[in-house]
Amino acid sequence: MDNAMLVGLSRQLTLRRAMDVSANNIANAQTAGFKAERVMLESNPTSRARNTDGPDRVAFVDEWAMGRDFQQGALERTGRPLDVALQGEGFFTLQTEVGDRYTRDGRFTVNQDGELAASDGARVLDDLGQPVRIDPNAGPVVISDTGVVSQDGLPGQRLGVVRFEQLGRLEKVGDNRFSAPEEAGQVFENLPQIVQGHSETSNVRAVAEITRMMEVSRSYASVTKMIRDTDELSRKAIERLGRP
Amino acid sequence: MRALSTAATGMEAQQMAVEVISHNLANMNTTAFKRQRAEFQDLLYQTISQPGANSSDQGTIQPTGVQIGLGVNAGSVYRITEQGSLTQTGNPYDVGIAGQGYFRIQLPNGGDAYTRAGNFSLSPEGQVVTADGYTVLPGIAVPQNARQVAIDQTGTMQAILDGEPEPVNLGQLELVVFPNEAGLEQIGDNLLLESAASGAPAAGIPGQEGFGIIRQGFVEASNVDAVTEITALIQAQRAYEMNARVITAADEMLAASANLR
Repeated sequence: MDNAMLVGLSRQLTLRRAMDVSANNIANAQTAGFKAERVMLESNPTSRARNTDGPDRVAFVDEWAMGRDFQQGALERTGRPLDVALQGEGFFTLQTEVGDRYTRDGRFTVNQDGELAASDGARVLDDLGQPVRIDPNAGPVVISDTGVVSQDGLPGQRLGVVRFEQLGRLEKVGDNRFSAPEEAGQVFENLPQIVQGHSETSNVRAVAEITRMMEVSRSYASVTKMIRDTDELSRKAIERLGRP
Repeated sequence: MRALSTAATGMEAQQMAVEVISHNLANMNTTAFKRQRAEFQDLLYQTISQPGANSSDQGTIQPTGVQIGLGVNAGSVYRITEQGSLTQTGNPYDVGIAGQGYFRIQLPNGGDAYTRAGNFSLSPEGQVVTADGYTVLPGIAVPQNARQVAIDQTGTMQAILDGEPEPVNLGQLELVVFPNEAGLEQIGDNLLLESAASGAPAAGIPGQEGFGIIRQGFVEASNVDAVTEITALIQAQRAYEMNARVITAADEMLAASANLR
């Protein structure tokens, strides 16, 4: 009898989580290089006490993992020479105090030491793992479509772009960045496709998110209704059976 | 329910975007104004289950974890230092910089400030000063009997004095550049201050390699592009509305639970 309520509760919990994820997607609909996410669910059958108990009839809902949509976001023209966007696979490498981080947000700037850096000062690394130097007096910066940074017609360092065999292993750490464990299978990208003067917009599709959100809030309401009906049922049973 | 606070961070960020856009639009006709851009970053993530964690006794591992993001963070407001177009004014003390560099200005408190707004004029003592009356360094004085003042591309000021056939050299304007000019601190009145992020200034003369040239009779217009700003405004407004919708939907869910009994 209680099963119906508990199954309903497990569904409500996952729906709340789905709502949280949708809310985060929508909040980041204007965040450069953001990748949309969704919760993936699985059914979780209750274990049986004896083998002879027969097939499971009760299954709970459980979230199983987080699906990340690594599709390319639209490229937006900004006209700034230090805004670069990746087309196709790959991530830029940033050096932070807590180790290397990976990002698709290529809106870079130059720090006080004349090195290419992200907005919080994390250095952008080249293909050899060194910070990319920009000479402020050497004229405009041109970044080729393979990531070679040249100034005054002289080609210099090349932006380090990596891709991962197992994108699912990446972890989001905030600030548009990912951290990658060893097992993610980091591969150096030899021929990245880089577009200068553009930035990659978030790949959140607003219409899809709003629809999903409506779906979530409606199914939440219907599960709530189911819980209420179950409650009503047990109340009636007690009333009727308890009558002398 | 995190969705409520997550959507609130979204609304806050979009509100900041609108504030930045309105500041840009308000300064569309400000001399040498540089447009700004609000940059967003995702906030921290709450890890519910770690990717790569064991999912059974047999040593199978979970390929992807469950991480729930907590919203968006308005990371920084970035000043875009593109060249603004040079507008002709005909005023001999208006100088526009074509290319890199800033004029160095002496503040009344003795400190230095930097500006690209070259709408200069003369003080009662004949000094070249900004619109606010602050001295333009290195400090050039124009004698009372000067007739035509000419400033060439390298910033050299010459004047023809009454009763003298040959032009007289008055001095030369100086420019400074910074390793990271976007890191300069804005203090209003078109003035900027050196900061830890901008790096130390390097002085030079106009026309030198890495420095812009001087155009007399021109001022640099603001680099705000109305079409870009309005498009950004529409985007920000719609994003704000969508976040508001999330709050409504999350509220409905909470109400459904609250009305269970």
